Amino acid sequence: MIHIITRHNSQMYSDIIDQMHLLRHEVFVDGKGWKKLRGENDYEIDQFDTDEAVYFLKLDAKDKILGGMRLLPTTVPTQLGTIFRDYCEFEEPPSDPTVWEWSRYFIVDKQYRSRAGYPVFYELFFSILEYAVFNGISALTGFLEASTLPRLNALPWEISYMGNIHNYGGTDGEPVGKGAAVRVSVDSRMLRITKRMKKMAAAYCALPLGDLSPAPHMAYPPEVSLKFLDFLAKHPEQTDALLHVANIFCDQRAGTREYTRNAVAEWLREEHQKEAMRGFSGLVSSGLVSGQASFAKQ
Amino acid sequence: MSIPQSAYVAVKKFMREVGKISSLTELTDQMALATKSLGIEHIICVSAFGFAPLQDRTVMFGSLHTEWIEHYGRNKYYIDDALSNHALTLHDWGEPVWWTDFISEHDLTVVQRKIFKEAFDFGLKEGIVVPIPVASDLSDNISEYAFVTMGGDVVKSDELENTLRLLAIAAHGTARRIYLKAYRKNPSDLMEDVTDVVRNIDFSTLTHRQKEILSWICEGEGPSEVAERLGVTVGTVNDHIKAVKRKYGFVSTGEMTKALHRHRIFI
Repeated sequence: MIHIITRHNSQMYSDIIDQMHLLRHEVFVDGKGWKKLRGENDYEIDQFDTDEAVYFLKLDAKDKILGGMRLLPTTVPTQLGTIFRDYCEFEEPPSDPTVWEWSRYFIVDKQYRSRAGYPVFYELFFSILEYAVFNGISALTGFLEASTLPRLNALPWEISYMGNIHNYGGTDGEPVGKGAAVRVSVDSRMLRITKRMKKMAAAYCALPLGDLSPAPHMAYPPEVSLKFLDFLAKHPEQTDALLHVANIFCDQRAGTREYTRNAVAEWLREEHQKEAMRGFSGLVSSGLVSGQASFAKQ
Repeated sequence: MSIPQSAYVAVKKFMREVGKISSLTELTDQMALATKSLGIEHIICVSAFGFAPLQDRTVMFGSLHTEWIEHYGRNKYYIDDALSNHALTLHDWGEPVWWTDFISEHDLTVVQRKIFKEAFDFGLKEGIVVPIPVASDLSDNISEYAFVTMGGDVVKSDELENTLRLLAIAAHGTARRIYLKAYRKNPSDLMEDVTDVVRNIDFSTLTHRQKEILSWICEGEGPSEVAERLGVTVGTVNDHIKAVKRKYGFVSTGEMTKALHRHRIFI
Protein backbone atom coordinates (compact mmCIF):
# COMPACT_ATOMS: atom_id res chain seq x y z
CA MET A 1 0.00 0.00 0.00
CA ILE A 2 1.30 3.46 -0.85
CA HIS A 3 1.29 6.04 1.90
CA ILE A 4 1.27 9.69 0.92
CA ILE A 5 2.95 11.87 3.51
CA THR A 6 2.58 15.63 3.49
CA ARG A 7 3.23 18.26 6.14
CA HIS A 8 -0.38 17.78 7.24
CA ASN A 9 -0.07 14.17 8.28
CA SER A 10 3.69 13.88 8.79
CA GLN A 11 3.33 13.99 12.58
CA MET A 12 1.55 10.64 12.33
CA TYR A 13 4.44 9.18 10.36
CA SER A 14 7.43 10.37 12.38
CA ASP A 15 8.90 6.85 12.76
CA ILE A 16 8.38 6.07 9.10
CA ILE A 17 10.00 9.35 8.00
CA ASP A 18 13.00 8.54 10.21
CA GLN A 19 13.19 5.13 8.63
CA MET A 20 12.99 6.71 5.15
CA HIS A 21 15.96 9.04 5.73
CA LEU A 22 18.02 6.13 7.07
CA LEU A 23 17.06 4.00 4.09
CA ARG A 24 17.86 6.77 1.64
CA HIS A 25 21.30 7.00 3.22
CA GLU A 26 21.70 3.26 2.76
CA VAL A 27 20.55 3.38 -0.87
CA PHE A 28 22.13 6.61 -2.15
CA VAL A 29 25.25 7.02 0.02
CA ASP A 30 26.27 3.49 1.01
CA GLY A 31 24.81 1.73 -2.02
CA LYS A 32 25.37 4.13 -4.91
CA GLY A 33 28.33 5.94 -3.40
CA TRP A 34 26.93 9.48 -3.39
CA LYS A 35 29.33 10.81 -0.77
CA LYS A 36 28.00 14.31 -1.21
CA LEU A 37 24.73 13.26 0.39
CA ARG A 38 26.37 11.79 3.48
CA GLY A 39 24.51 13.10 6.51
CA GLU A 40 24.87 13.01 10.27
CA ASN A 41 23.76 9.86 12.11
CA ASP A 42 23.40 8.02 8.79
CA TYR A 43 20.56 10.29 7.75
CA GLU A 44 20.19 11.47 4.19
CA ILE A 45 18.37 14.80 4.17
CA ASP A 46 18.94 17.48 1.58
CA GLN A 47 17.83 21.08 1.08
CA PHE A 48 14.72 19.90 -0.75
CA ASP A 49 13.31 17.90 2.17
CA THR A 50 11.16 20.80 3.28
CA ASP A 51 7.59 21.16 4.45
CA GLU A 52 6.53 21.40 0.81
CA ALA A 53 7.79 17.92 -0.03
CA VAL A 54 5.27 15.12 -0.48
CA TYR A 55 6.58 11.59 0.07
CA PHE A 56 5.17 8.47 -1.51
CA LEU A 57 6.19 5.38 0.38
CA LYS A 58 5.37 1.77 -0.22
CA LEU A 59 4.98 0.08 3.17
CA ASP A 60 4.47 -3.61 3.77
CA ALA A 61 2.14 -5.10 6.38
CA LYS A 62 4.76 -4.53 9.09
CA ASP A 63 5.30 -0.88 8.13
CA LYS A 64 8.65 -1.65 6.53
CA ILE A 65 9.50 0.67 3.61
CA LEU A 66 9.89 -1.18 0.29
CA GLY A 67 10.37 1.87 -1.91
CA GLY A 68 9.65 5.54 -2.17
CA MET A 69 9.76 8.80 -4.04
CA ARG A 70 9.56 12.52 -3.35
CA LEU A 71 7.41 15.13 -5.07
CA LEU A 72 8.02 18.89 -4.85
CA PRO A 73 6.05 21.80 -6.30
CA THR A 74 8.20 23.82 -8.71
CA THR A 75 7.19 27.04 -6.95
CA VAL A 76 9.84 26.26 -4.32
CA PRO A 77 13.52 25.48 -5.02
CA THR A 78 13.82 22.17 -6.85
CA GLN A 79 16.71 20.07 -8.15
CA LEU A 80 16.14 21.12 -11.77
CA GLY A 81 15.70 24.74 -10.75
CA THR A 82 18.96 24.82 -8.78
CA ILE A 83 21.63 22.12 -8.96
CA PHE A 84 20.60 20.72 -12.38
CA ARG A 85 19.69 24.08 -13.91
CA ASP A 86 22.50 23.85 -16.47
CA TYR A 87 21.05 20.57 -17.70
CA CYS A 88 17.87 22.27 -18.93
CA GLU A 89 19.12 23.83 -22.18
CA PHE A 90 16.01 23.24 -24.28
CA GLU A 91 13.45 24.49 -21.80
CA GLU A 92 13.72 26.65 -18.69
CA PRO A 93 12.93 24.82 -15.46
CA PRO A 94 9.31 25.74 -14.72
CA SER A 95 8.02 27.61 -11.71
CA ASP A 96 4.37 26.74 -11.81
CA PRO A 97 1.99 25.54 -9.09
CA THR A 98 0.64 22.88 -11.48
CA VAL A 99 4.09 21.46 -12.31
CA TRP A 100 5.77 19.25 -9.72
CA GLU A 101 9.17 17.61 -9.64
CA TRP A 102 9.88 14.05 -8.64
CA SER A 103 13.17 12.97 -7.08
CA ARG A 104 14.82 10.49 -4.69
CA TYR A 105 13.26 7.45 -6.29
CA PHE A 106 14.42 4.31 -4.57
CA ILE A 107 13.34 0.70 -4.42
CA VAL A 108 14.55 -1.41 -1.51
CA ASP A 109 12.91 -4.67 -2.43
CA LYS A 110 13.18 -5.32 -6.16
CA GLN A 111 11.88 -8.86 -5.84
CA TYR A 112 8.65 -7.83 -4.17
CA ARG A 113 5.45 -8.44 -6.10
CA SER A 114 2.02 -7.41 -4.90
CA ARG A 115 -0.77 -9.94 -4.81
CA ALA A 116 -1.70 -8.85 -8.31
CA GLY A 117 1.93 -9.50 -9.34
CA TYR A 118 3.14 -5.90 -9.61
CA PRO A 119 6.57 -4.64 -8.55
CA VAL A 120 6.90 -1.71 -6.15
CA PHE A 121 7.55 0.92 -8.82
CA TYR A 122 4.22 0.24 -10.55
CA GLU A 123 2.28 1.04 -7.40
CA LEU A 124 4.47 4.05 -6.67
CA PHE A 125 4.06 5.52 -10.14
CA PHE A 126 0.34 4.98 -10.27
CA SER A 127 -0.25 6.53 -6.88
CA ILE A 128 1.83 9.54 -7.92
CA LEU A 129 -0.21 9.87 -11.10
CA GLU A 130 -3.45 9.55 -9.13
CA TYR A 131 -2.24 12.15 -6.68
CA ALA A 132 -1.29 14.46 -9.57
CA VAL A 133 -4.63 14.12 -11.34
CA PHE A 134 -6.58 14.53 -8.11
CA ASN A 135 -4.64 17.68 -7.21
CA GLY A 136 -4.79 19.31 -10.64
CA ILE A 137 -1.09 18.84 -11.40
CA SER A 138 -0.58 19.21 -15.17
CA ALA A 139 3.00 18.02 -15.54
CA LEU A 140 5.77 16.24 -13.67
CA THR A 141 9.43 17.01 -14.17
CA GLY A 142 12.49 15.04 -13.16
CA PHE A 143 16.06 14.07 -13.94
CA LEU A 144 16.05 10.54 -15.36
CA GLU A 145 18.84 8.03 -15.97
CA ALA A 146 19.63 7.83 -19.70
CA SER A 147 19.05 4.07 -19.73
CA THR A 148 15.45 4.52 -18.58
CA LEU A 149 14.61 7.12 -21.27
CA PRO A 150 13.75 4.61 -24.04
CA ARG A 151 11.23 2.98 -21.72
CA LEU A 152 9.17 6.16 -21.84
CA ASN A 153 8.65 5.51 -25.57
CA ALA A 154 6.45 2.54 -24.73
CA LEU A 155 4.14 4.62 -22.55
CA PRO A 156 1.29 6.69 -23.98
CA TRP A 157 2.66 9.83 -22.35
CA GLU A 158 3.36 13.25 -23.72
CA ILE A 159 7.04 13.72 -23.00
CA SER A 160 9.35 16.60 -23.65
CA TYR A 161 13.06 16.61 -23.02
CA MET A 162 14.08 19.74 -21.15
CA GLY A 163 17.76 19.26 -21.90
CA ASN A 164 20.37 17.06 -23.52
CA ILE A 165 21.70 13.89 -21.93
CA HIS A 166 24.54 14.85 -19.56
CA ASN A 167 27.30 12.98 -17.81
CA TYR A 168 27.23 13.57 -14.07
CA GLY A 169 29.27 12.63 -11.04
CA GLY A 170 32.90 11.64 -11.11
CA THR A 171 34.15 14.15 -8.56
CA ASP A 172 35.60 12.91 -5.26
CA GLY A 173 35.29 9.31 -6.38
CA GLU A 174 31.55 9.57 -6.84
CA PRO A 175 29.91 7.30 -9.38
CA VAL A 176 29.43 8.55 -12.91
CA GLY A 177 26.21 8.32 -14.82
CA LYS A 178 24.17 9.83 -17.58
CA GLY A 179 20.78 11.42 -17.40
CA ALA A 180 18.42 14.01 -18.83
CA ALA A 181 15.76 16.39 -17.55
CA VAL A 182 12.32 15.30 -18.67
CA ARG A 183 8.83 16.74 -18.44
CA VAL A 184 5.77 14.46 -18.56
CA SER A 185 2.29 15.89 -19.03
CA VAL A 186 -0.34 14.42 -16.75
CA ASP A 187 -4.10 14.34 -17.13
CA SER A 188 -6.93 11.97 -16.31
CA ARG A 189 -6.92 10.50 -19.84
CA MET A 190 -3.24 9.70 -19.60
CA LEU A 191 -3.81 8.01 -16.23
CA ARG A 192 -6.76 6.01 -17.57
CA ILE A 193 -4.89 4.81 -20.67
CA THR A 194 -1.77 3.93 -18.71
CA LYS A 195 -3.79 1.98 -16.15
CA ARG A 196 -5.58 0.09 -18.88
CA MET A 197 -2.32 -0.64 -20.65
CA LYS A 198 -0.69 -2.00 -17.52
CA LYS A 199 -3.88 -3.76 -16.48
CA MET A 200 -3.95 -1.92 -13.19
CA ALA A 201 -7.46 -1.91 -11.80
CA ALA A 202 -6.87 -1.76 -8.08
CA ALA A 203 -6.24 1.32 -6.00
CA TYR A 204 -3.09 1.54 -3.96
CA CYS A 205 -3.37 4.56 -1.72
CA ALA A 206 -3.53 4.13 2.02
CA LEU A 207 -5.52 6.43 4.25
CA PRO A 208 -3.18 9.25 5.26
CA LEU A 209 -3.40 8.50 8.95
CA GLY A 210 0.00 7.12 9.83
CA ASP A 211 0.25 4.37 12.41
CA LEU A 212 -3.48 4.38 12.77
CA SER A 213 -4.19 3.77 9.13
CA PRO A 214 -6.51 0.83 8.75
CA ALA A 215 -5.50 -2.74 8.16
CA PRO A 216 -2.45 -2.89 5.88
CA HIS A 217 -4.17 -5.12 3.37
CA MET A 218 -6.75 -2.46 2.62
CA ALA A 219 -6.19 0.22 0.01
CA TYR A 220 -8.48 2.98 -1.06
CA PRO A 221 -9.27 4.66 -4.32
CA PRO A 222 -7.92 8.19 -4.59
CA GLU A 223 -11.39 9.65 -4.15
CA VAL A 224 -11.32 8.33 -0.60
CA SER A 225 -7.72 8.53 0.55
CA LEU A 226 -6.83 11.76 -1.24
CA LYS A 227 -10.07 13.36 -0.14
CA PHE A 228 -9.08 12.61 3.44
CA LEU A 229 -5.65 14.10 2.85
CA ASP A 230 -7.27 17.12 1.29
CA PHE A 231 -9.62 17.41 4.24
CA LEU A 232 -6.70 17.12 6.65
CA ALA A 233 -4.88 19.93 4.82
CA LYS A 234 -7.88 22.22 4.93
CA HIS A 235 -8.99 21.38 8.45
CA PRO A 236 -5.99 20.44 10.56
CA GLU A 237 -8.14 21.01 13.65
CA GLN A 238 -10.17 17.95 12.69
CA THR A 239 -7.22 15.58 12.88
CA ASP A 240 -8.67 14.04 16.05
CA ALA A 241 -11.93 13.32 14.28
CA LEU A 242 -10.12 11.54 11.46
CA LEU A 243 -8.07 9.56 13.94
CA HIS A 244 -11.26 8.52 15.62
CA VAL A 245 -12.55 7.16 12.32
CA ALA A 246 -9.28 5.37 11.79
CA ASN A 247 -9.61 3.83 15.23
CA ILE A 248 -12.97 2.44 14.27
CA PHE A 249 -11.38 0.85 11.24
CA CYS A 250 -8.54 -0.56 13.27
CA ASP A 251 -10.94 -2.05 15.80
CA GLN A 252 -10.68 -5.81 16.05
CA ARG A 253 -14.41 -6.03 15.49
CA ALA A 254 -14.04 -4.15 12.20
CA GLY A 255 -14.09 -7.44 10.32
CA THR A 256 -17.58 -6.89 9.05
CA ARG A 257 -18.59 -3.96 6.94
CA GLU A 258 -21.84 -3.76 8.82
CA TYR A 259 -20.04 -3.06 12.07
CA THR A 260 -17.77 -0.43 10.52
CA ARG A 261 -20.60 1.30 8.77
CA ASN A 262 -22.70 1.42 11.91
CA ALA A 263 -19.82 2.57 14.10
CA VAL A 264 -18.88 5.39 11.73
CA ALA A 265 -22.50 6.41 11.29
CA GLU A 266 -23.07 6.42 15.04
CA TRP A 267 -19.97 8.49 15.66
CA LEU A 268 -20.97 10.93 12.95
CA ARG A 269 -24.42 11.29 14.52
CA GLU A 270 -22.87 12.00 17.92
CA GLU A 271 -20.47 14.56 16.50
CA HIS A 272 -23.24 16.17 14.54
CA GLN A 273 -25.35 16.46 17.64
CA LYS A 274 -22.48 17.94 19.62
CA GLU A 275 -21.85 20.50 16.93
CA ALA A 276 -25.54 21.29 16.68
CA MET A 277 -25.65 21.86 20.42
CA ARG A 278 -22.71 24.19 20.15
CA GLY A 279 -24.75 26.01 17.57
CA PHE A 280 -22.82 25.87 14.29
CA SER A 281 -22.92 23.82 11.13
CA GLY A 282 -20.51 20.96 11.64
CA LEU A 283 -17.42 20.69 9.54
CA VAL A 284 -17.08 17.08 10.50
CA SER A 285 -20.47 16.01 9.29
CA SER A 286 -20.38 17.98 6.04
CA GLY A 287 -16.81 17.05 5.27
CA LEU A 288 -17.01 13.39 6.04
CA VAL A 289 -20.39 12.35 4.77
CA SER A 290 -19.15 11.61 1.26
CA GLY A 291 -16.13 9.86 2.69
CA GLN A 292 -18.36 7.67 4.77
CA ALA A 293 -20.39 6.76 1.71
CA SER A 294 -17.20 5.62 -0.01
CA PHE A 295 -16.18 3.54 2.99
CA ALA A 296 -19.53 1.87 3.00
CA LYS A 297 -18.94 0.84 -0.61
CA GLN A 298 -15.67 -0.78 0.31
CA MET B 1 30.47 23.16 -25.61
CA SER B 2 32.36 21.33 -28.32
CA ILE B 3 29.30 21.02 -30.55
CA PRO B 4 29.10 24.09 -32.82
CA GLN B 5 26.47 26.65 -31.92
CA SER B 6 24.59 26.21 -35.23
CA ALA B 7 24.30 22.46 -34.63
CA TYR B 8 23.16 23.08 -31.10
CA VAL B 9 20.38 25.38 -32.36
CA ALA B 10 19.26 22.72 -34.88
CA VAL B 11 19.22 20.02 -32.20
CA LYS B 12 17.25 22.23 -29.83
CA LYS B 13 14.72 23.00 -32.58
CA PHE B 14 14.30 19.32 -33.41
CA MET B 15 13.90 18.34 -29.77
CA ARG B 16 11.21 20.96 -29.29
CA GLU B 17 9.23 19.82 -32.32
CA VAL B 18 9.81 16.08 -32.41
CA GLY B 19 6.69 15.37 -30.33
CA LYS B 20 4.46 17.16 -32.85
CA ILE B 21 5.75 15.48 -36.02
CA SER B 22 3.06 13.36 -37.68
CA SER B 23 4.69 11.62 -40.63
CA LEU B 24 7.78 9.47 -41.07
CA THR B 25 8.99 11.53 -44.03
CA GLU B 26 8.82 14.69 -41.95
CA LEU B 27 10.55 12.93 -39.06
CA THR B 28 13.36 11.74 -41.32
CA ASP B 29 13.79 15.18 -42.90
CA GLN B 30 13.73 17.06 -39.60
CA MET B 31 16.13 14.63 -38.00
CA ALA B 32 18.47 14.85 -40.97
CA LEU B 33 18.56 18.63 -40.56
CA ALA B 34 19.62 18.27 -36.94
CA THR B 35 22.10 15.44 -37.46
CA LYS B 36 23.65 16.89 -40.64
CA SER B 37 24.72 19.90 -38.63
CA LEU B 38 26.57 17.45 -36.40
CA GLY B 39 28.29 15.79 -39.39
CA ILE B 40 26.02 12.75 -39.60
CA GLU B 41 25.24 11.64 -43.16
CA HIS B 42 23.60 8.30 -42.61
CA ILE B 43 20.80 7.33 -40.20
CA ILE B 44 18.80 4.17 -40.03
CA CYS B 45 16.40 2.99 -37.33
CA VAL B 46 15.49 -0.68 -37.27
CA SER B 47 12.87 -2.35 -35.14
CA ALA B 48 14.66 -5.55 -34.21
CA PHE B 49 11.74 -7.36 -32.63
CA GLY B 50 8.73 -6.33 -30.73
CA PHE B 51 5.50 -4.52 -30.88
CA ALA B 52 2.51 -5.69 -32.87
CA PRO B 53 2.77 -3.75 -36.13
CA LEU B 54 6.44 -4.53 -36.58
CA GLN B 55 6.82 -8.15 -35.66
CA ASP B 56 10.11 -8.58 -37.44
CA ARG B 57 13.13 -6.51 -38.37
CA THR B 58 11.89 -3.51 -40.21
CA VAL B 59 13.31 -0.17 -41.12
CA MET B 60 11.35 2.40 -39.13
CA PHE B 61 12.92 5.56 -40.54
CA GLY B 62 16.20 6.67 -41.94
CA SER B 63 18.09 9.12 -44.04
CA LEU B 64 20.46 7.08 -46.11
CA HIS B 65 23.79 8.01 -47.62
CA THR B 66 22.67 7.07 -51.14
CA GLU B 67 26.00 6.20 -52.75
CA TRP B 68 27.11 4.12 -49.84
CA ILE B 69 23.83 2.27 -49.50
CA GLU B 70 23.80 1.44 -53.23
CA HIS B 71 27.29 0.07 -52.95
CA TYR B 72 26.28 -1.76 -49.79
CA GLY B 73 23.23 -3.35 -51.43
CA ARG B 74 25.04 -4.25 -54.66
CA ASN B 75 27.67 -6.14 -52.70
CA LYS B 76 25.11 -7.78 -50.38
CA TYR B 77 27.00 -6.40 -47.37
CA TYR B 78 23.85 -6.80 -45.28
CA ILE B 79 24.64 -10.49 -44.97
CA ASP B 80 27.97 -9.92 -43.27
CA ASP B 81 27.59 -6.46 -41.76
CA ALA B 82 29.04 -6.86 -38.28
CA LEU B 83 27.18 -3.90 -36.78
CA SER B 84 23.67 -4.90 -37.76
CA ASN B 85 24.29 -8.53 -36.89
CA HIS B 86 25.59 -7.47 -33.51
CA ALA B 87 22.75 -5.02 -32.85
CA LEU B 88 20.20 -7.69 -33.66
CA THR B 89 21.57 -9.92 -30.93
CA LEU B 90 21.33 -7.27 -28.22
CA HIS B 91 18.73 -7.84 -25.53
CA ASP B 92 20.01 -5.65 -22.73
CA TRP B 93 19.47 -2.07 -21.61
CA GLY B 94 22.75 -1.30 -23.34
CA GLU B 95 24.84 1.80 -23.84
CA PRO B 96 25.59 3.27 -27.28
CA VAL B 97 28.61 1.82 -29.11
CA TRP B 98 30.99 3.76 -31.35
CA TRP B 99 32.00 2.03 -34.58
CA THR B 100 35.74 2.36 -33.88
CA ASP B 101 35.32 0.92 -30.39
CA PHE B 102 33.28 -1.88 -31.86
CA ILE B 103 36.00 -2.67 -34.41
CA SER B 104 38.71 -2.75 -31.77
CA GLU B 105 36.71 -4.88 -29.36
CA HIS B 106 35.42 -7.56 -31.71
CA ASP B 107 37.01 -10.23 -33.83
CA LEU B 108 35.87 -9.29 -37.29
CA THR B 109 36.07 -11.30 -40.49
CA VAL B 110 37.96 -10.02 -43.50
CA VAL B 111 34.69 -9.06 -45.19
CA GLN B 112 33.46 -7.23 -42.11
CA ARG B 113 36.68 -5.20 -41.95
CA LYS B 114 36.36 -4.49 -45.65
CA ILE B 115 32.85 -3.10 -45.11
CA PHE B 116 34.09 -0.69 -42.43
CA LYS B 117 37.03 0.31 -44.60
CA GLU B 118 34.80 1.02 -47.59
CA ALA B 119 32.27 2.92 -45.45
CA PHE B 120 35.21 5.06 -44.32
CA ASP B 121 36.17 5.72 -47.94
CA PHE B 122 32.58 6.76 -48.68
CA GLY B 123 32.80 9.41 -45.94
CA LEU B 124 31.25 7.44 -43.09
CA LYS B 125 34.34 7.75 -40.93
CA GLU B 126 32.84 7.23 -37.53
CA GLY B 127 29.40 6.38 -36.26
CA ILE B 128 27.42 5.14 -33.37
CA VAL B 129 24.84 2.44 -32.69
CA VAL B 130 22.19 3.46 -30.16
CA PRO B 131 20.29 0.49 -28.78
CA ILE B 132 16.69 1.33 -27.89
CA PRO B 133 15.11 -1.24 -25.59
CA VAL B 134 11.55 -0.04 -25.18
CA ALA B 135 9.00 -2.22 -23.49
CA SER B 136 9.60 -4.87 -20.88
CA ASP B 137 7.47 -7.24 -18.89
CA LEU B 138 7.30 -7.34 -15.11
CA SER B 139 10.43 -9.46 -14.85
CA ASP B 140 12.33 -6.85 -16.91
CA ASN B 141 12.66 -9.07 -19.98
CA ILE B 142 12.74 -6.77 -22.99
CA SER B 143 9.86 -7.44 -25.34
CA GLU B 144 10.45 -4.62 -27.78
CA TYR B 145 13.77 -3.59 -29.19
CA ALA B 146 15.03 -1.21 -31.84
CA PHE B 147 18.36 0.36 -32.67
CA VAL B 148 19.54 3.43 -34.54
CA THR B 149 22.81 3.50 -36.48
CA MET B 150 24.25 6.86 -37.43
CA GLY B 151 27.47 7.67 -39.20
CA GLY B 152 29.36 10.40 -40.98
CA ASP B 153 32.43 12.56 -40.84
CA VAL B 154 32.45 12.90 -37.07
CA VAL B 155 34.87 12.60 -34.18
CA LYS B 156 33.97 10.53 -31.16
CA SER B 157 33.11 12.56 -28.06
CA ASP B 158 30.95 12.21 -24.97
CA GLU B 159 28.87 15.21 -25.89
CA LEU B 160 28.21 13.98 -29.40
CA GLU B 161 27.32 10.56 -28.03
CA ASN B 162 24.81 12.05 -25.58
CA THR B 163 23.27 14.27 -28.25
CA LEU B 164 22.93 11.49 -30.82
CA ARG B 165 21.54 9.16 -28.17
CA LEU B 166 18.86 11.66 -27.18
CA LEU B 167 17.98 12.39 -30.83
CA ALA B 168 17.70 8.67 -31.54
CA ILE B 169 15.47 7.98 -28.52
CA ALA B 170 13.18 10.95 -29.19
CA ALA B 171 12.90 10.17 -32.93
CA HIS B 172 12.16 6.53 -32.22
CA GLY B 173 9.44 7.58 -29.78
CA THR B 174 7.76 9.65 -32.48
CA ALA B 175 8.19 6.94 -35.15
CA ARG B 176 6.63 4.41 -32.80
CA ARG B 177 3.66 6.69 -32.21
CA ILE B 178 3.17 7.18 -35.97
CA TYR B 179 3.35 3.44 -36.64
CA LEU B 180 0.90 2.59 -33.89
CA LYS B 181 -1.55 5.24 -35.05
CA ALA B 182 -1.48 3.90 -38.61
CA TYR B 183 -1.78 0.37 -37.31
CA ARG B 184 -4.83 1.20 -35.22
CA LYS B 185 -6.45 2.85 -38.21
CA ASN B 186 -5.95 -0.11 -40.46
CA PRO B 187 -4.36 -3.15 -38.84
CA SER B 188 -4.83 -5.45 -41.83
CA ASP B 189 -3.01 -3.24 -44.28
CA LEU B 190 -0.11 -2.78 -41.90
CA MET B 191 2.49 -0.27 -42.96
CA GLU B 192 2.20 -0.15 -46.72
CA ASP B 193 0.55 3.25 -46.74
CA VAL B 194 2.97 4.69 -44.28
CA THR B 195 6.30 3.61 -45.63
CA ASP B 196 7.87 1.75 -48.47
CA VAL B 197 8.27 -1.18 -46.19
CA VAL B 198 6.50 -4.22 -47.59
CA ARG B 199 4.13 -6.34 -45.56
CA ASN B 200 5.43 -8.42 -42.73
CA ILE B 201 5.53 -12.14 -43.28
CA ASP B 202 5.69 -14.85 -40.69
CA PHE B 203 8.46 -17.13 -41.90
CA SER B 204 8.52 -19.17 -38.73
CA THR B 205 6.55 -21.98 -40.39
CA LEU B 206 9.26 -22.75 -42.96
CA THR B 207 10.53 -26.30 -42.70
CA HIS B 208 14.16 -26.98 -41.89
CA ARG B 209 14.87 -28.14 -45.46
CA GLN B 210 13.14 -25.10 -46.95
CA LYS B 211 15.24 -22.80 -44.75
CA GLU B 212 18.40 -24.59 -45.79
CA ILE B 213 17.61 -24.25 -49.49
CA LEU B 214 16.43 -20.63 -49.20
CA SER B 215 19.52 -19.58 -47.29
CA TRP B 216 21.65 -20.61 -50.29
CA ILE B 217 19.24 -18.99 -52.76
CA CYS B 218 19.53 -15.78 -50.73
CA GLU B 219 23.30 -15.98 -51.03
CA GLY B 220 22.82 -15.78 -54.80
CA GLU B 221 23.19 -19.44 -55.76
CA GLY B 222 21.07 -21.06 -58.44
CA PRO B 223 18.89 -24.17 -57.94
CA SER B 224 21.43 -26.47 -59.60
CA GLU B 225 24.24 -25.26 -57.34
CA VAL B 226 22.05 -25.70 -54.27
CA ALA B 227 21.06 -29.20 -55.44
CA GLU B 228 24.73 -30.12 -55.78
CA ARG B 229 25.58 -28.75 -52.33
CA LEU B 230 22.76 -30.61 -50.62
CA GLY B 231 23.05 -33.79 -52.66
CA VAL B 232 19.51 -33.69 -54.02
CA THR B 233 18.07 -33.28 -57.52
CA VAL B 234 17.37 -29.89 -59.11
CA GLY B 235 13.71 -30.89 -59.32
CA THR B 236 13.50 -31.29 -55.54
CA VAL B 237 15.05 -27.86 -54.98
CA ASN B 238 12.63 -26.28 -57.44
CA ASP B 239 9.70 -28.05 -55.79
CA HIS B 240 10.70 -26.61 -52.41
CA ILE B 241 11.02 -23.11 -53.87
CA LYS B 242 7.65 -23.42 -55.62
CA ALA B 243 6.05 -24.58 -52.37
CA VAL B 244 7.38 -21.54 -50.50
CA LYS B 245 6.24 -19.17 -53.25
CA ARG B 246 2.78 -20.70 -53.26
CA LYS B 247 2.50 -20.62 -49.48
CA TYR B 248 3.42 -16.93 -49.16
CA GLY B 249 2.00 -15.72 -52.46
CA PHE B 250 5.27 -14.62 -54.10
CA VAL B 251 5.05 -14.05 -57.84
CA SER B 252 8.76 -14.37 -58.57
CA THR B 253 11.90 -15.74 -56.98
CA GLY B 254 13.22 -12.17 -56.91
CA GLU B 255 10.30 -11.02 -54.79
CA MET B 256 10.79 -13.97 -52.49
CA THR B 257 14.51 -13.38 -51.95
CA LYS B 258 13.87 -9.67 -51.38
CA ALA B 259 11.34 -10.46 -48.66
CA LEU B 260 13.66 -13.05 -47.16
CA HIS B 261 16.51 -10.61 -47.09
CA ARG B 262 14.37 -8.07 -45.37
CA HIS B 263 13.35 -10.56 -42.74
CA ARG B 264 16.75 -12.01 -42.36
CA ILE B 265 18.78 -8.88 -42.34
CA PHE B 266 17.94 -5.29 -42.97
CA ILE B 267 18.93 -3.04 -45.79
